[in-house]
Amino acid sequence: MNLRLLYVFLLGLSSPLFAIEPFTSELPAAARTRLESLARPLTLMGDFTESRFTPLKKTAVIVTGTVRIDRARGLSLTYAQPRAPVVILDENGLLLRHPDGREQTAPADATADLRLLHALFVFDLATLEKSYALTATENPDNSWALVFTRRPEAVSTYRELTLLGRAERLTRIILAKTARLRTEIALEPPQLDPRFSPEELVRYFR
Amino acid sequence: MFRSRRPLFLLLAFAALCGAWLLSLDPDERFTTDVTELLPADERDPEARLALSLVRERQSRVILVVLDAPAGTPPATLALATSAHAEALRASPAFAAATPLADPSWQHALGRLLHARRIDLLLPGWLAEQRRAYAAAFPATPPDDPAFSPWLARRTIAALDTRLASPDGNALAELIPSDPLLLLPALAERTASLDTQSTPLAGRALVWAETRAGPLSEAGQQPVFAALSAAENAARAHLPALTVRFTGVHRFAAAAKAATRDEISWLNLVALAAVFGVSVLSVRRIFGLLHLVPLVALSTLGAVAATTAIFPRVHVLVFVLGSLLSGVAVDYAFHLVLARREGENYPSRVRRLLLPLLGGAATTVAGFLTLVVSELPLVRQLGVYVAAGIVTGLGATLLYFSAFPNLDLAPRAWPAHAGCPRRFRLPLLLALTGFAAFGLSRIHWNDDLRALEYPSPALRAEDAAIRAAFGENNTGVSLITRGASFAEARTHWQTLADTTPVSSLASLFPLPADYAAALSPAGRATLTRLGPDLAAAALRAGYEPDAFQPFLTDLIAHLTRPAPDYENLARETLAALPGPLGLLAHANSDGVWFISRAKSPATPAHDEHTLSLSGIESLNHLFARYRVATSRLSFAGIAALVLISCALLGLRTGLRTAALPLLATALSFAVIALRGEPFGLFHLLGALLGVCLADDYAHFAHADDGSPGALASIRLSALTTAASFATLSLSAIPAVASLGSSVALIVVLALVFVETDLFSLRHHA
Repeated sequence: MNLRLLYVFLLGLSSPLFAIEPFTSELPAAARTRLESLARPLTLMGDFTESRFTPLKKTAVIVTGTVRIDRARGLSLTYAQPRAPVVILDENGLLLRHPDGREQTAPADATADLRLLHALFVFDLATLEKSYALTATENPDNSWALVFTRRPEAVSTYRELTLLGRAERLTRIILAKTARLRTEIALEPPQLDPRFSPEELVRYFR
Repeated sequence: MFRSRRPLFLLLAFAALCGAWLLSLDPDERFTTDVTELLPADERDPEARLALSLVRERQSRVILVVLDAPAGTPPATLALATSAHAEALRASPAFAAATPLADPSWQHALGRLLHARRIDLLLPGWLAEQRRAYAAAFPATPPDDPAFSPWLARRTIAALDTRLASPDGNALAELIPSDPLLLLPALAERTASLDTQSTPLAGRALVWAETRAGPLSEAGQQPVFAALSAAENAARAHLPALTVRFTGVHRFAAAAKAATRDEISWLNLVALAAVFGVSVLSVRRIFGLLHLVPLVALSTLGAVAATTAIFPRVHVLVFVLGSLLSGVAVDYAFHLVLARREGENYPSRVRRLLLPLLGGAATTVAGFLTLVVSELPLVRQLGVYVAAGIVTGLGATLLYFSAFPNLDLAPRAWPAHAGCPRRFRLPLLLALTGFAAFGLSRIHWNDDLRALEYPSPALRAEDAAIRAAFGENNTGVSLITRGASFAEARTHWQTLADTTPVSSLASLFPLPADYAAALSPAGRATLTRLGPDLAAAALRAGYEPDAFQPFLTDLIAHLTRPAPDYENLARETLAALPGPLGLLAHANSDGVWFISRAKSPATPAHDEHTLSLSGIESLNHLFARYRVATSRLSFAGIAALVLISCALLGLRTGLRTAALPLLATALSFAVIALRGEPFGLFHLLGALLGVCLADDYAHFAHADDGSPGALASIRLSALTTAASFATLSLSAIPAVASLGSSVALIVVLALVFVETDLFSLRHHA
């Protein structure tokens, strides 16, 4: 082993000791541990209710569906409406898979937003930190909130991303472009580490 | 006169005249390698005109570039390199446009354009669709039913609610205030499969570019390649390990041009060497063969000069095929020199041999001149080229050897042979005819324009890979719909779309009838009422009072200004389309066409206005038509040959003389067919040439007086011709190889027939 390789080897060994965690100052240790715990299940499935607030309507448009998460494959949303496509969000971006087999990708300029949403859903704090500042709140009633506020230089169109929970459970996600244009996703208690069949993997992921 | 030097001066003057003429020509202007120029520019078939215009118009000027970054390259670095590449192309005068497909700016420009024209372009079709739905729901109501507008407003809001609750509803929230009728999302769905942007792999970027000059012109090749090279360097300044690949008709055209030029050179050289080699085996005075060089040169010079004098643009393939002249042009020389008798002066020899010489030459010239009436420029040019070459070759031969009347090549004595015994001749002829008939029944035709192209498998493979990266693949069918105007083309396209699921830019334009209906007083009245009805229905459904204010403002503006003329609207919209989309429709003085994509590969063209399009392959049906027309001409040429033979030699001998080349040709075709080789236009041309050559030998054989030189001249002529055509069969261009192999086979068989005297032509034998 020459000196250069030895140096690289030592650097590799030592790097965890000096690694800087994302949001070092903003995120309390308990919250970090909670996020690590939330990110731990390899698969997850649960029902959700989505409230879409737009400046068009006085009240929210409510839709329901099921979310499936596979850490290796990404996130998949199925909606209760007939003929609704499966929405797949993964490292390659967004894919809408229609019941007739047609597949639709998101436009190129949505890439930055989608990358950040994907980071939010898999708790990739390092990616989020580049575009968002974090405010963490712990309440006496055991509820908590993590509010990611867009940094001035960031290109994301989402002004604020919020994770709300109680104890060890994530209960609500809020994606806000403006105060009047936002989506609130209420999550039912999920099934942790369900085993997706090969057919489900093909149908719900890519 | 024959002993004087005047004939040589005459030949020199002729060579100087032809040379001066050729030197005065601009090679780029007068010669072409463009395969599409093999078809007539004024092709009468409108489908072919359409396909040709497509190949020649903007589509052919597109260059697709794939940039691959090494693994681990940050996306921002690749984006920077891609942007530098596209900017460098845009800065080059060789390029009219260059757009990185990941760069959404052209899509934004498209979005802005369509948004600005949504009411003009999309509202008429939407309104017509709603009227049909209303008529289906309430059949008894009159067209101007006042209940229509409130119904339409309620239906619109219901559709909007459904859409807002759909998975992509959030993405539309910002568009809906100005497009509550969802005109743009509906258009996006209709044209989804036209999306030229595929999802590139990580570490890959795509650049779409359009050159200013056509790919077949000089300005469309080297300057384009230089600009691409400069753009590659500009991109590498940001990412040194970048891999850049590109494709376009330009590359194929340049490669074909270079390869064809090389092939012309080496085929002519090899053919000349083969002729010389065969001659060396046949005569003792080898240096005397150098006399053939000026004859071949003069014959070729005369052929090129005549062809370029008659045709404003000549395809280089004519010269590749024309390399056969080196074999044909020496035939008359061999016969004139080898058939000499001791003590006979030159004028007497010419008089004695004039009939077979003229007979042979006249039949060949007549055969090839029939091709001059062909529709196909290549066939016409080849007809003139060979006919002019033969006339020049014969004239040059007669003049040239007048200066060398005692030239003796000293033919080598070949082993003595006996002709086929007379009693076997008829049965053998019948057997051979039967075999030929059987073989001819096995002929199958394969008309493929690509047979004329120089094969470039490596380029084709790279082209396919790059096009796949751009999302182009071989699934589905492209269809092209035409009309004299936008209105007509759009109406024809609707006929197609009503029966076949297709995507096309045509759906961007309203049907002329729908456009007229929306602009009619009844249409305007409905739209005027729709604004307030929509606002009221929205309010009832929980929408904010000003939810659709931007749309209502635009609708009022639309109703208060004069509507644009349909043709102007369509023409201006098409001209303003940014990026690759503008290539999916075209308007010129010939009319308007739209390209459609159908997913099913078996989708047929549905009416006379729509044809299936698969690039140059779509021209193959034309090629088949030309082949049929050429076969008719070939029969006319053969009939002329038989008539000339009968006129010169009398009916009985004339028919026998003509039967020799016909059987040789039929047998050759039979052999080729039984080998399983598909036949095309160039086999036919080969047959016509072979018949003419074999007919020469039949005439020479008939004139055979038993002197050793007479048969030697036929043998040498045939072997040199066979050698030069066998050389052509080595060509990488399938059409040239087909022609070479068929002619070589015909000539060899004709020689065998002469040697065996199967047709009892040699009356001394």
